[in-house]
Amino acid sequence: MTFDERFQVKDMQENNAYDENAGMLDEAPMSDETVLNEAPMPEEAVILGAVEESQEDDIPAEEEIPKPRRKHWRGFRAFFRSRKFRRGLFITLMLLYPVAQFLIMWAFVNIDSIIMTFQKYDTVKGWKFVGLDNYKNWFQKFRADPAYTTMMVNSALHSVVGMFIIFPLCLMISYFLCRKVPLSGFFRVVFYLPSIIPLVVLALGFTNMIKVDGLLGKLYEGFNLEAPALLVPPKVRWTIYGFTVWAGLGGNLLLLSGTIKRVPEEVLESARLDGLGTMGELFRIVVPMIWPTLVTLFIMSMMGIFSVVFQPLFLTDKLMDETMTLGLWIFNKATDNAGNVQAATLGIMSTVIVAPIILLTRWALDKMFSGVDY
Amino acid sequence: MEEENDIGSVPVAKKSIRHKLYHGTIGAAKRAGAKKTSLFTVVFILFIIYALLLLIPFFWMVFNSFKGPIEFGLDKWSFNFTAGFDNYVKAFNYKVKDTTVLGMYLNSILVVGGGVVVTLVSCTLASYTMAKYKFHGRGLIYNIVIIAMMVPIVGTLPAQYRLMQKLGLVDNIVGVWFLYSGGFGFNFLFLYSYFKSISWTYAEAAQIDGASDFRIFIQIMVPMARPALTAVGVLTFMGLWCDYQTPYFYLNSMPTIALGLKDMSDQLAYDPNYPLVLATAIMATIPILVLFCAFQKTIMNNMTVGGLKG
Repeated sequence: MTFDERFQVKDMQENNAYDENAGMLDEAPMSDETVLNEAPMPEEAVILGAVEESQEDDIPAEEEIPKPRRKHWRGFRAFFRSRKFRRGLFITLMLLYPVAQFLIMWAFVNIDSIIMTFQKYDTVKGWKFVGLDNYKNWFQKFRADPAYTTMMVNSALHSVVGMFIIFPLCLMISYFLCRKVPLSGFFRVVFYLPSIIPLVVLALGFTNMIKVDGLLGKLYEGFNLEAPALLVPPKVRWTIYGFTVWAGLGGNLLLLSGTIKRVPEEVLESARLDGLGTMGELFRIVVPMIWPTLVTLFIMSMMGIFSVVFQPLFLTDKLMDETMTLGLWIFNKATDNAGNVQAATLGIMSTVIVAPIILLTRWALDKMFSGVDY
Repeated sequence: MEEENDIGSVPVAKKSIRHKLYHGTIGAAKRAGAKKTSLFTVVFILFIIYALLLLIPFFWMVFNSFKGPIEFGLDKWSFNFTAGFDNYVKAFNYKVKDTTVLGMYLNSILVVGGGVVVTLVSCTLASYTMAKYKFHGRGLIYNIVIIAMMVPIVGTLPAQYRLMQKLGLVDNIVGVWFLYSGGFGFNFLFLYSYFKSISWTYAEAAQIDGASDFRIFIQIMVPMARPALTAVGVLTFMGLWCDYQTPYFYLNSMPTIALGLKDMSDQLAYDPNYPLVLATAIMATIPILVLFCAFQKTIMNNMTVGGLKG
């Protein structure tokens, strides 16, 4: 026991708090193994010896050490050595870093993000509060700025493409890969590749294919047609949707095929005996059975509204109004002292509009096939 | 008459067998089988087409990375590999903003390697404690984590940047590691369900033998979760290797390969030396392909076991 602790004990004694505490702490269970496991500090060894002796002799500790002061020490020590305390300490230490990181990088940043929407950066005075100016600004842009509207529409369309093209196709692909289409192992790896390869590399490959001297150009040449310019307006928007589909079909492949594989074979077998076809099996048996996973992945596809950030930038090498998305706009303004508050406001307003829709969709989807478990 | 009858009856009999075959159980099964086969053939052909659409760009990049500037300019679809590995050697020494591609490679290894370690440690600490111990506030933490994942809050990037500036972590590798070290994400959910599935009996046995909580964690639980940890580690590595945003904001002076490749392709977009970009792109992809091939089974199996439930 250190000097400070002794001093503390003395203080407690003087404050008359000692008697109550001593009783409580003494009742705290002693853990046998901790005594054996840890090498005690020299000055503690004496007390430790006393404890061991007391246990060997099977005499209650109170009688063994009659002095109240020492009794308190033992109680105090017993508490620190008790399983309850040690477990609490263990849990605290284990969670300390992850929780702190989460509080700083999620809780604080989110709150600060809201605060930021009421502020403005001044080169002389630094950050100052400006009331609802940023929101007024946002509303004006939302109403009158065509570039702003294009950006919103683009993002919404990315979400639609994600939900109704990429997601169903990915489900079908995963299902057929589980049904052992020939070469399914090879297909699984190839289809999953775009999800692990850097987006820059994917964009490089894709743009070179759709250029005039690329694969598409060669195909058009074969039919004696002129290849369209896909990387400039007005077609560039559709090119980017095409790119997200091309690169995104395998995105959820692993999770989906993993989940589909867990559907018991007996259930599928009995459905087949009842004459259910392949597509019937997919939509009537597999889909309801893996519903919770599907809902989660569908919601994630819905969030495509925010997650399409770099695709337009990497494909076209520049920022264009026609291809702008919410994510890219925020990315572009994040470090700019004049634009960052606008970016924060746009983010908050988008969240306010989109988050309820997402939560509502989730709630509705959860209701559809509730209680399916296996 | 007999002959006529015979001749007449035979076709009738044949017809009836055919009829039976066509409309009976065997026929139905055969037709279902044929339908299934035709469906699978269509799917197979579609899969082949999609696989080709994915693979052709990469093969194109690979064989063009072996071409010199002149051959590349003349025909991008010829098989005339005059440059050999020259482009790769040149690319290694090519400088983008004072950093060679080799330097970027090393930066990537440092940033991503550290990132994987901190992510794994943080996730394991959080998921193990949450899965195996009951304590006050556990439900609260879990619910907040789920809400954080489900409610998409966007536009926090400016606030994040402001915070990192205040903390002095901009252009600092520690800052990037700090950002990567979140313990509560999808990795958390995956490891959480994995730890839940490990029986506590092992820990009880160890407790009786006198092991402390920490010892149980390090010596029993972590080794038992090694397959899941490997899967998470490999997937994290692949994710961070491709990360563009974090190094772009917080590590400008130490560009990683994902960042440098973008700058390089911008610089050389209309340059005859474009094959250098392709060589760099191939080099940026190789570590990921190697990792994926090496750990493919671990990743696939664990995804199957863990799955994802909302």
